[in-house]
Formats: sequence, structure tokens, C-alpha cells
Amino acid sequence: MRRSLNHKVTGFTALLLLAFGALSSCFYLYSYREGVRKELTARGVTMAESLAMSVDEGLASENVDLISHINKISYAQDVVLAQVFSTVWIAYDAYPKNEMGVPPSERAVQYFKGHQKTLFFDDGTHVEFYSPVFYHDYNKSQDSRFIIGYVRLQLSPAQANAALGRAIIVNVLLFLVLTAVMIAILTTCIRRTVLTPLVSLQRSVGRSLNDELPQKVPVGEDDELGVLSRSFNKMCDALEQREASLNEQKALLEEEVLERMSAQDALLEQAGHLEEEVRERQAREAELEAKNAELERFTYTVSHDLKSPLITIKGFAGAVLKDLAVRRYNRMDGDLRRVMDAADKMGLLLNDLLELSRIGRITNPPVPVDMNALAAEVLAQLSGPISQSGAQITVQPELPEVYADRPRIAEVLQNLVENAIKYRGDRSPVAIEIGSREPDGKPVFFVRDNGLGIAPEYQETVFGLFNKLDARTEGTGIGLALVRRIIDFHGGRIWVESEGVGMGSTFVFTLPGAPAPAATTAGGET
Amino acid sequence: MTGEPLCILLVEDNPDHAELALRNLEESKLANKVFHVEDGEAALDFLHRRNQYADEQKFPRPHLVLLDLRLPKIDGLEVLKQIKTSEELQSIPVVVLTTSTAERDIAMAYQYHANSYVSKPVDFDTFSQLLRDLDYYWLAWNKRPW
Repeated sequence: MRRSLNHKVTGFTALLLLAFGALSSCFYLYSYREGVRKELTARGVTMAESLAMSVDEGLASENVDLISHINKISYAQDVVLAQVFSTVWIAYDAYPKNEMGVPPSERAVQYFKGHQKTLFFDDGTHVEFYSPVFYHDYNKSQDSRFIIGYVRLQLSPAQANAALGRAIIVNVLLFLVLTAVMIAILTTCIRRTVLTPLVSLQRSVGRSLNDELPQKVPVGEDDELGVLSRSFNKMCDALEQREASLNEQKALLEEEVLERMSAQDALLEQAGHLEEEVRERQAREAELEAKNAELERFTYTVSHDLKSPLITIKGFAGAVLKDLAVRRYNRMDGDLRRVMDAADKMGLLLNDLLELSRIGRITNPPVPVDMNALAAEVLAQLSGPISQSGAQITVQPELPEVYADRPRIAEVLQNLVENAIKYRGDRSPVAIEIGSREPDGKPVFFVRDNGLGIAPEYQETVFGLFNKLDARTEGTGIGLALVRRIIDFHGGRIWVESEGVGMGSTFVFTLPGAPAPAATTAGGET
Repeated sequence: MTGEPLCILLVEDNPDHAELALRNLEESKLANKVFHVEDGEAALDFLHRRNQYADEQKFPRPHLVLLDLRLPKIDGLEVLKQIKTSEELQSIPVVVLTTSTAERDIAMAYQYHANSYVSKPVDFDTFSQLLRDLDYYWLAWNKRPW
């Protein structure tokens, strides 16, 4: 346990006062005792000498009655023993009487062999006085006197000792009371002047250690503590001011941080916009590049495929002319038919090319399209080829609605169903299914057949312009290129799934399901 | 000129063009036999004697290949590449005979080591002349390593 300063100060003061008091009491009691002894000795000497004078006549006349004056000594209560001796130390009388036989002390006997003055000494229990008894011969010179006996007086120090005891008790009591009072006064003073300010200082400092502001302490007297308290209070003021300015700066900093954060947010937002813009531009550039490449491919294939029937026409026309020259008619009509067919093919190609070029250039605004109704319309248009091929066509009910250029999507369905009939192979019955699946919420449509199928290596090339798997089949090779172009233009995707030749094929395409917010305005642009 | 029968493989998807070519080649009488296939796959099968062309007697190694570029199934350039990367076939002269005059096609054809590149002329007489010349040059003048 921590011993408080208060206890220490009280303890230290008490110890000091006790030591001081004890020392001074000892000195006082010693001098008191000496005083008592001196008084006792002086009284004893006077009593012994007056006793000697009262018995000189009796001794000179050897009258025992006169000697018995000794009994008068009993007035003094502390007389233990009184004796009258002859010069040869034979006792004449004693008080009390029964103490007659007590011999004189050897010390006195030896002393009076050379001295005539009163002797006194302390044998430890009593104080003894011996005084000579003189006989004065007034007939002779004045100082002619001689010793005719001795008196002995024994006094008890009990009375003096009792007084000393009382003095001790009083002294101790007084000392204790005084000491207690002194301690109380001293500790109170110390507490008031030193401890209380110190404790309040300590408490205040303790508060500051607990992250609170230190409290001001009361300033007492103009001593060191007062100066310390004033300094402490000044420090408190300074701390308070610093705290206040710190709080102010903190608030400013917080505000600045918030400002910076919002500025950063704004910058980030701008950066996001810029990035988006860059991405958009890149996408647009890529789109342009793709379009350029497509255009290049287009002109290339067009020049190739338009040139092809031209070669046929001029070639067989030339052959006919040559045959005419030699009058060889047997293959002429065949050659002319080839010329006609090539011309027809050219016409078809030109029509298809025109159609292809229209996609993206001439568009109908996107509308919600009921795919079931659209499929029914397409199938009605194709009723001729369908019934000729004996194909069985099923349309899945409740196809998802799409948002698209309706006539174009009809073209897509028409091309896919036509292809399915055209490449049916020798499978019987021909089964074609129009349906949809929604793998991730986006409608996906398919046209499935059980026809020739497409080997994996050609599943991409079939969508190329003028690409045909079989040169003998009718058609220009534009159909699937057209379909892909329409689906691309709608932001969808088209691909073919087939296990291989003879396994049938499934043409799958995606279309936007919900109207895009800007679609209505964008649709009217071109 | 060893008396060995000379034969040509004509790879052409357009039946009219094939007919024109065949007629001209027949007139030249240099080639004993002209085989006609309509797509790239058939051309490679013929050259490797696979599938229906497995009979070595019926379908001999051609002395000249006339190759169109735009072919169904396997593209003409791919056929050319496979011929010229095959140790067995690369010595056969391959003349690209196509309607295309595109620079890219010409460049690619030579990159794949075509022996010659000619564009089909639209004019009938020129076409006939070209085929006669080709025939004569590659089968008569040209020396073969085998």
C-alpha cells in the first residue's frame, strides 16, 4: 500500500516532537531531583546542628533529662533515627528509644578524628547527618570550645522521592498532552500549507494523464508552493489554449481532407469519363476497321463473283460463235442455256448484293416483336417449299418477345428455314424446330434441323460472303452472310452447332430482349 | 516426252468454267487425261489418293495442277499450302487459275510457292489461248524432275 505524504509528515513530526520532549523532560526531572536533594541536605544540616545545640547543656552536666530533648525532634515526620553520643561514641539517648543500640557509622567516627564540622552523606536508603556538640568556656577566650559529644540524624528521602514521582507523572502527562497538541497543530499547518495544494496539484496532473484537461488549482500563500501553483495554472491555461488551437487545426485538417477527397472523387469520376470516352473511341475505331476490312472483303468477293458469270457468258457465247462457224449445232443449246443461267445468276447476285448493302443503311425502327407470330408469318410464306419437301416444322410456344427490326428478323428466320429445307439431305421425315432457350436471361433462339449437318471446320466459313459448302447447290452464297449481318446489326451473335456431317445442324442466335433506353431515338437516325 | 501418259488435275468449283477449261484442254491434245474435282477436299484426296481416289491406276499423279482459289470446303490457298509443304507433292507444278486479280491473293499464292498465277480472262478467245499456252508450256516445254 502506498503511504501518503500526509502520514509520513505526521509520523515524522510526532517522532521529532517525542524525541525533543523526552530529552527536555529528562533534563527537567534531573534538575528537579537535584533541587530536592539540596533542600533535604540543607534542612538536615540545620536540624542536626540545632539538635546539637539543644543537648550541649545536658551533655556538659551529664543530665539525662536535658538530653531527652532529643524527643522533640519527632515533629519532623521524615526523621528515621536520632542519637546522642559521647565523645567515645557511646549512645546516651535515641529516638525512637528502641534504636539506642544502633552503632555509629565507621565513616563518621573516622571523620571526626580530624574535623569539627557537620558531616552528611547518603548511604543509598537514608541521608545521614553527624554534628559535633561543643562546650563553650566563656571564661576563657572567645573561641575556646571543645567537643563533648555528637548527634546523629537519619532522614528518609521517601517524601522527597514521592514529590519527585508526582513531578514525573505530571511532567509526563503534560508532555503527552503538549506533544499531541503540537502534532495536531503542526500537521494541520503542514497539511494546509503544503499537502492540500500538493494533493490538488497531483489530482490535476492525474487528470491530464487520463487525457483530460488539467484543472486549475487554488493558489495559496506567496511561497514556493504558491509560485508552483501559479505556474501550474499558467501551464493549464497554455494547455487549454493549445488544445483549443489543436482542435481548431484538427477541424481545419478534417475539412481539408474532406475537400481533397471530394476533389479526388471528382477527378476519379472525370478519369472514369475519359476512360469511357477512350474506350468508346477505341470501340468505334475497331468498328471502323472492321467495317473497312468488311468492305474490302466485300469488294473483293463482289468483283470475283460478278466476274465469274461474266467469264461463263463470254466463254460459252464464244464457243457458240465458234460452233456456228463450223456448223456444229449439237451442243449449242446447252451452251446457250449456260449463258442464260449465268446471266440469271448475275441478276440474282446483284439483287442479293443490293439487299445486303441495304442492311445498316435502310432500317426500320425497332419494335417489340412477337416471335411466335413472326415465325407463323414466315412459315406461311414458305408454305410452297415446305409442302414440297414434306418437312415437319414445330414452333415452341411462348417464345420470348424481342425488340428489333421486324422485317429483318423475318428475313433471318426465312433464310434459316430455307437453308434447313435446302440442305435436308435424304433424311425422312424432315424435322425442323424453331425454339428458344435462356441460359443467362438473354433470349437465345435456334433453328434446328435433322439434315446434312456441317463439319466443325466449316462451321465458321458458312457465314462468309459467297461461301457455299457445295458448289452445285442453288443460291448465291449470300444468305448466311446476310443473316449474320442482320444479327450483328442488332448487337446479337449467331453461330452454328453441329455434331458433324449427317448429324443435323442448329443455327443459334441472340437478340436484344428489352428495349434499350436510347433505341427509339437511335432507330430513327438512319 | 517419255511416252508416259500426261495428266492434269483441274480444281474448279464453277461447272461452267470447268467445262470451258476442259473443252480447251481437250483441243490441245497434249494431255492424255484431265481430271476434274470441284472442291479443295477432293483435290487433296485425289493427290494423296485417299477415299474414292485410292486407285493408283485410275488416278495417277498429275503432271500439272490447275487450281482455283475460292473453293468450297477447303480454300484454294490452303490446298496450295498443303501441296507445297508435302515432300511427296511439292514438285508437282501448281498454276493458280482464278478470277481474282487481288494483290493479296497473288502475294499469298507466291508465298505458298505457287509455280504460276494467272487470272481467267473474260474474253473467250483469250481464255482459249491462255489454256493452250499453259498446257503447252507446262507439259511440253517444262522439264520435270520425274
